[in-house]
Amino acid sequence: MMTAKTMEWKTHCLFCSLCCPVEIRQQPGAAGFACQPPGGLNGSGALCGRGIGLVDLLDHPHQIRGGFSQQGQSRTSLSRADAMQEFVRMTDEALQEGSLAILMDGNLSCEDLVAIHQWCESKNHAVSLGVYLPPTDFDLLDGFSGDSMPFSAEDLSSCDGILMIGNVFATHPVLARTLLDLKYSHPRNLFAVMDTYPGITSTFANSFLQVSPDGHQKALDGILALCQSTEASVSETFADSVGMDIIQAEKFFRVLRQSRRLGVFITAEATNNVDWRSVVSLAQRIASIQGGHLWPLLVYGNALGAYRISRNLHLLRLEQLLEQAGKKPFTAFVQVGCDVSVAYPDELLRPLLSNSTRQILFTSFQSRGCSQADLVIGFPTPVQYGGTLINGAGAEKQLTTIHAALLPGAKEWFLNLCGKTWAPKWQDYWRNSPAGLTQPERLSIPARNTAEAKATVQLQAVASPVHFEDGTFSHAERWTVHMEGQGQLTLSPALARQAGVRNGESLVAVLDGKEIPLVCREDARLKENQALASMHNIAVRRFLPWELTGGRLHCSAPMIQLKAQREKGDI
Amino acid sequence: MEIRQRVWIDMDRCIECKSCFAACYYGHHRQPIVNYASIGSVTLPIICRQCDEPTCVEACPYEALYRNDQGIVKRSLALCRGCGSCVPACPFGTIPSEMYRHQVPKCDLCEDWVLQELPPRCVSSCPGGALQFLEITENELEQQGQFAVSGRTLSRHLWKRR
Repeated sequence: MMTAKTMEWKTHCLFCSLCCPVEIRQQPGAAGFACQPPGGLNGSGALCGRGIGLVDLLDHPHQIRGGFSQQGQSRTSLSRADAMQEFVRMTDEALQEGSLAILMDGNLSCEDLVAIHQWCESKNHAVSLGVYLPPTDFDLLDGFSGDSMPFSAEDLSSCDGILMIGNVFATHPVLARTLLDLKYSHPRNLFAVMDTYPGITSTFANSFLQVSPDGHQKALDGILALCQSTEASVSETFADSVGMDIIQAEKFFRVLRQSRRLGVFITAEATNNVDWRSVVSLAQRIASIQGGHLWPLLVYGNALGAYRISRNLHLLRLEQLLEQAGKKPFTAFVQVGCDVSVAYPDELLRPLLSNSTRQILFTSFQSRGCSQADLVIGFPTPVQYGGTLINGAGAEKQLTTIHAALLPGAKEWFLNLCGKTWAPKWQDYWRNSPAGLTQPERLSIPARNTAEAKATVQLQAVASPVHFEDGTFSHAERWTVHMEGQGQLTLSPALARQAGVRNGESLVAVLDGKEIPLVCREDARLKENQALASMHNIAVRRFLPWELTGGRLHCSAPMIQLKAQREKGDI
Repeated sequence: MEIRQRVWIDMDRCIECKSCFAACYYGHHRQPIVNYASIGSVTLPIICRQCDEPTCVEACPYEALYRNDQGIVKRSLALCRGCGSCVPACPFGTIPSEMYRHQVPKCDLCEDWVLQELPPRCVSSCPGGALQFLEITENELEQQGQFAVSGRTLSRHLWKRR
């Protein structure tokens, strides 16, 4: 039995679009424990490691609770009230001198996002307001025309075939039990998996189709044509075009064709395709021909809510802020709840981060951006957010503010500053699906040339159920450090031999003069020219060649060079 | 009352998400207890079997390890000197070699939860349903269409996975 002193909170996890309900229990002076209440999507009450790790954010000793201002090397601590005064002074000055940009994290609650917009409106539209979502979330939602597909375990149980595009079990582990129950409930229920590398999901596939990065469209085009035709077999031309033998291609197509109701799940990893919008669009057509549904799986818990708000209120994206800043620098750049400097290389962010006269950061923890900011203001952690989020299935979920007395959220802060009170009609901004969205044109992004003449290895940054280092939500007691203390590069044993390293040895990945040290991990399932690194590793994310083309941020899988790293004294 | 159930691992359901590690870590004062081992291309959690005749207990020179009335092999925090003798003594490699806070972490089958008739934390947190808390014989398993592949590892197939 729980003792009387045990504190309990019920909230929702916002580390992916499934938004699992979470129950957090904590005894005074002891570590907390998070689990999912019985029932819900998973049925058993299980949570993935990310959800369990939410307890790291309770009473975190390193949380920034006040604020500080910086001038050169000197740093002055500020109380909440002083931080607010300083914020008002800096933003007023910035607006007198020119224009101000605000980027708010899409994982804030819907109320927070709308409140920041209200503050911007009170400044006579002199503020460029943007919402930050991972580019893949924007792509999936654009491709899905900004709507959602209600999802429940009952919907899934009526499917007899599942197509998973991407490594679904790594990005959204909580879906695994429902999907595996379906698979093992009847031998006719089959899994088809399409991905650019043989991840954990592929090991459960009845048929696995490995496509090259950016090769999804070609394969899905072929499958769509076959589904639409009366032809019951795969041609050699199609098999050749997707780079697999005809027997494998036949098997993959048969799994899809045999199903009376096909459930399609799609999860996007940035380097695996530069145009996820057209992949979603094609997958959706295949699902509807096969009498099923498509469920896009998003990175951010409130991705759909933030997307609806951004479309309904005509807000900008990071890409558009970067383009505006490139033409005319902002006099101040404010980030609320996000720090883009941990996700993208400096050269890409220079127009916003280096050219803006003032930098203001609302953040929970010391992050990379704090060292460059003129004003840092303490902000709630995700377990302290309050308000509504819209999960990937379009359902409203309520976040509970834990330890509310500590810090006001963005809603309280910005409504207080502009002297407004909450209006219930503002809920329409996230309840209404945005109108006027059309199926996107297929993009054609030119292939990238790498400067490394000897580069023969293609690097893919992939999702992992284990987040690690301080790029994630936990900055002190990092359980994941025990799993992967140092960034790893997974490669085939043959490639490791070629690079002169063995399992556990250090090597350096080189791209356009940039180097990143990683530890070799061999995996015999990978192709010889393929290397995988975790997308959650800050160094890897900043190493990737992100580009801004046609108003979109994208990153194709780069060709890199590998070098063995020997320390002094090594033979 | 002796606890007869043990943690079994269904190879056909493990998605290598490491949730069991996280749940165990936060439930046991942030100690890394769950181990992992790669068998071919499959990485599975290695969890203490709470042996009937535990070799780790035999190996402990300080009598810090003992099997209690519930049948759980436990470690006395007061007696453990962190000598690490139990680490190589375990034939299944379930005791991590990492010396942590001067004492070797040891699975206690989440006795606090099990006595409340809840499954251990690793089992209740498993998203794929791979970890199960069962009292079952090999014959009963075969009737369910499953096999004990080795020790407490289940599979629907004898020679292949999934």
